[in-house]
Parts: sequence; C-alpha cells; structure tokens
Amino acid sequence: MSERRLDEAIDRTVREMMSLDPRAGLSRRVLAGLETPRTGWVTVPRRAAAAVLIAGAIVGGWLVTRTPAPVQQQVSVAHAPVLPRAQSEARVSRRSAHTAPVERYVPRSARALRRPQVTPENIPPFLSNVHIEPLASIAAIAVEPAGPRALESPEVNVTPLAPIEPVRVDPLPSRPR
Amino acid sequence: MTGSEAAAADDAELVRLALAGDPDAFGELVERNRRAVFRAALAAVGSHEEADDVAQEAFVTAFHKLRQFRGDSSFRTWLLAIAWRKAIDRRKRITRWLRLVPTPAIRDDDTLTPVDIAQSSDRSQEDAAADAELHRHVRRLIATLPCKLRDALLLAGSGEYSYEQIGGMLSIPVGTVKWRVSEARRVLKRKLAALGYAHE
Repeated sequence: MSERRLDEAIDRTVREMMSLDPRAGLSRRVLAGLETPRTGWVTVPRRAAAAVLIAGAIVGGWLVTRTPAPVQQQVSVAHAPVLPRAQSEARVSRRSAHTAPVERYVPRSARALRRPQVTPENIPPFLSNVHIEPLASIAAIAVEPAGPRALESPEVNVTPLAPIEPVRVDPLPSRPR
Repeated sequence: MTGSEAAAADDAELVRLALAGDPDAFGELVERNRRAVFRAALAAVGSHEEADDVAQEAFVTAFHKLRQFRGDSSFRTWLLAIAWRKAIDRRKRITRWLRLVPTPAIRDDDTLTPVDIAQSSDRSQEDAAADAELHRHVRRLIATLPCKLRDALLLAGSGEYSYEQIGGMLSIPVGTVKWRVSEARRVLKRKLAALGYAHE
C-alpha cells in the first residue's frame, strides 16, 4: 500500500472525527447560562467558610458542654499529702463537682501549667471549710562531693614486629618465538 | 444592536458592546466561534456530549472574564485558549476517554455502509471494503496515540485552526505543533505497517 494512500486514510479519518457540530441552540443555552448565578470559584470560599463555621460551632458546643471533672479532681488530689484532715474535708464529691461553676476547657498542654496553687484565697466557696497549715521547712540535704578517682587501665605490652625480609622476584624465562 | 448590525461588526467591537451590557453582541460572538470552540473541545474529550458541555462552559467563562481580554491576540485565539483549558480539565476528570473516542456519530461499524460501498462507482467493492477496514484501524490507532500527539493531529486535521492558533491553545511554539503532527502521522503509519498496511 502506498504511503500516499495511508496519508489519505489518516487525513480522511481525522476529518471525519472532527466534522461534528455542536447541538443546535448553543448560543441560546450560553446566554441563558449567563443569567443564572455563577457557581464558580467565587462561591468556594463562602462554602468553605460556612463549613468551618459549622464545624467550629459543633466543636465549641462539645467543649462547652463537656464536664471538667479531671480539673476538679486535681484540686482534691493536690490537697491529699498536705493534711489528712483537709483531705477528708476537701474531697470534692461527684455531686458537688457537677454543681460547681463550669470551667472552660483547657488543653492538656496548658492544664499542667494551670494546676491550681492552693491558697486560702483561691479555694472556691464550697471548699471554705478547708484548713491549711503551712508546710514544715525542708531540711537541706548534705551531699558529699565525689572525690577524684584514679583511672585504672591495664598495662599494654607492645612487642616490635619481626623485620620484613626483602622480596626477591626472579625474572621469567624468556619464551622462544 | 440589531442582529444584522451585530453580524457586520468585528470581534473587537462586539467585545466592547458586550462589556457595555449588550447580550446580542455576545450572542453574535458565540455564534461566530461556536464551531471552533466545540471542535477544540471535541479534540480533547472525544465525546459529542462532553464537548458540547465544555463549549457552553467555555463561553460562560469567557463572558465573565471578558474584562481581562486585552486584545493582544484575536478574540478567537483568546477564547480558544479558555476552551482548551476547560476541555483539558474535563478530560482529566473523565477516565473513559479511550472508550469514548468512537463518538456516537462515528460508530465503529458504519464508516462505510454496504450501500456506500455498492454506490462507489469508481472503485471496486473490494477496494471500498479494504478502505473501510483501513479507516477503522486508523481511528482505533488514533485513540491509542499519546495525548500530545493526538491533540495536535486532531486540531490540525480538523482544518479549523491555524498552526498559530493551535500553538496558542497548547501553549507550545508553532514548530512544536508541526513536529507533533508529523510525529503522530509517523507513529500511525508505523503501527499500520505492523498491521500489514506496509507502505512501499
């Protein structure tokens, strides 16, 4: 088959594949499309913002309604080693924890920093019967300084290597041609 | 502006009128370029319905971006670039491109009907049947070409665009367009030769 015929076949096929026309009324449909509100990239940020707001409201609602029980328990635990009497009086019952004013959620990382320093001023009113006595002074610990210690290392004996004898290379016998 | 006035105006004037809020002016621009835009989309997506959809979308986008048209190139070139980007986006979304290449208007089995073959007076029926078979192979092989080669071949072969316009659409130099068309033909002929259509 000649190359010219193959070229003709390719041309004819491509022409046929591309000889289609758009459906009738494209102009009308386009003009109708111009009047409808555009749903392009402009609306995307609005939708994203709405989604973020909804998600924020859900998460915020969950955080607000969440019981801050762990934080309340830390208060009572903090009192425990101080005074046995205070421990018995300061223990916060589950019921009183629920009736206590709701605290805002504090992230775990920040919670350690906010661990309450128990002073008579910051004890909540429902713990007003807690009696705190000052802690006894802590005696200084005497630590003896470590004395210098001699390093012990095993004795290493180095023996000299035996002298190396010169290497002798004998010439190869010449090969007859 | 009346329909006849719109038809007489050039593209730049129509763009100006469309920007001023004249819907007829933009309608005339659509009418003038609808076939070129549609066929560019067809070359990319291969389906009549998808191409029609892309063409419509491209015109709507062009209308909304009309203020960005600076007139550096012709309106048609600018519009075709928009249409081509839309079509490529669509092609990326559809994975059934290879199955869609034989569009409804170009069915595999009716390139030449028996009636066509019988009516061909200047050739023997045997030659006509052989041509139909070759035609089918060529169409199938075009579908298997790499996208870059196929796009260039279809756009150039449509006769609708200049090489400059194709280069503008594909964002490549004219020389590259010509090379791709030539390479597409070379690959097709090599594959046809492997099928037994060896050229002498």
